[in-house]
Amino acid sequence: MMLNSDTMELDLPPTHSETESGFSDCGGGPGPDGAGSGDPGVGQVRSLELGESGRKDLQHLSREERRRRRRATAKYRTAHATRERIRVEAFNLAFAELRKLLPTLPPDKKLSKIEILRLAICYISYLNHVLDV
Amino acid sequence: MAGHTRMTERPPSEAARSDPQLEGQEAAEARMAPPHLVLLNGVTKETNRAAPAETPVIELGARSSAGGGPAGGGGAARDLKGRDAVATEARHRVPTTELCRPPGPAPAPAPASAPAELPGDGRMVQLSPPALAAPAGPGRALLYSLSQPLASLGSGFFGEPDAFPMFTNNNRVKRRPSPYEMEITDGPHTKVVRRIFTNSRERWRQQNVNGAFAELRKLIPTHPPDKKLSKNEILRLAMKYINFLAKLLNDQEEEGTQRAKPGKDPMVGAGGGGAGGGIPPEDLLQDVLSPNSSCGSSLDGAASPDSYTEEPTPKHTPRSLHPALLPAADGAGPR
Repeated sequence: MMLNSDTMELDLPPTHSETESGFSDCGGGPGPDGAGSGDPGVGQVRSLELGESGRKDLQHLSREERRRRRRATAKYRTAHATRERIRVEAFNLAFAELRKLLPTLPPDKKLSKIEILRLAICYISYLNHVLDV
Repeated sequence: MAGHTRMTERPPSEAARSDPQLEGQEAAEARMAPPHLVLLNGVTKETNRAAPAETPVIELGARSSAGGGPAGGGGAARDLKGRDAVATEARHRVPTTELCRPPGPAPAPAPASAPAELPGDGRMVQLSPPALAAPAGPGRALLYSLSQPLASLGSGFFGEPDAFPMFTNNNRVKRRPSPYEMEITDGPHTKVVRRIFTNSRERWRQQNVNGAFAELRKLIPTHPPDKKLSKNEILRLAMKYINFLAKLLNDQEEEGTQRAKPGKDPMVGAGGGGAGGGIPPEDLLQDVLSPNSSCGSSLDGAASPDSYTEEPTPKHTPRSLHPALLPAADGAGPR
């Protein structure tokens, strides 16, 4: 869940930049595109003479290719590992803070994640019951 | 030939050592003689006589002279199985005797089936490379067929149970020329079962954690009620909601007793109410005690499915309270 959401959030800005770069490439003309990369999409573009379907195929292929290349770099892998570490740290910190709000004997008793969740459920149910009375 | 000569040399020392062993051997010979050939009888006698021997020097010499492959395997097996001396000696000698026979298609795995699972695993490691091509089906059949005769032999014979099952195992193994398959199927099964058990346990634990997150999510009031929240958001909103409820409880107690008490812990606040005296404080004390017992039971059964059956009961109260609390929570939000 968190991983997916992070990935989606991170992919949005690059997509915009890809779109802009795609438009600029199309505006430049077929010549530099052919010289830049030897993709089959370029051949289709030439045959269709810059048709709409050709543009879509070129943008689609270029986006996928660029995304794969960017994700394959060591820099991206390091950044991804750093983000994952930060996410896990925040997750564990939230558990620690929730633990402090729960009454136990002794107060600093060590609880596992599942125990913290179950105790929080019991405590919230108890507070709701007391306030209802 | 060298192995044969050494085997013949050993009998006199073994005979001098113990008489009951000789008696057991004679009984075994009498029982086994009719259904088998003279050669088979001779081989079985030699193996029985060799079993009780305990001379390490002689054994090492025999192994080195017998051959490189089975001798090396026997050494490794001995290192792995230091506990059973008699069993290890029998296991070491069986392949040697089979190597001496030209017509023998494959060595007998009989001693491997008798001991515990660990020795089987040890042999599995040694024999895996040459027996990779063997199919698994016949191996399983052999396992089932061999296990039953072992049980019957154990119940039938009283004296020297180690020697007698060797006879029957050797005979039956000779009839079915596929000994490696049994050992092969035993090892992978153990590893696969262990892996599956570990994976199932981890999956079950993760499902329990996710289930608890789902239940906690139901108790947190949000707009809309079924809004999708991440795990981190569920935890942080639970903290805010607990703080809100605790503050609300303290405010009500202050209004009720008309006293200012800065106690953060709602249990401490309830204790203060009890000190005040009166019917309401007693009700508060009873309320404090009941959730403790339920929380205790939940903690005790954290890793058991019984806790799930207990969980649904407290859900009714919070569900009814949700519509009442929603406007209050919304009001507190912008503040």
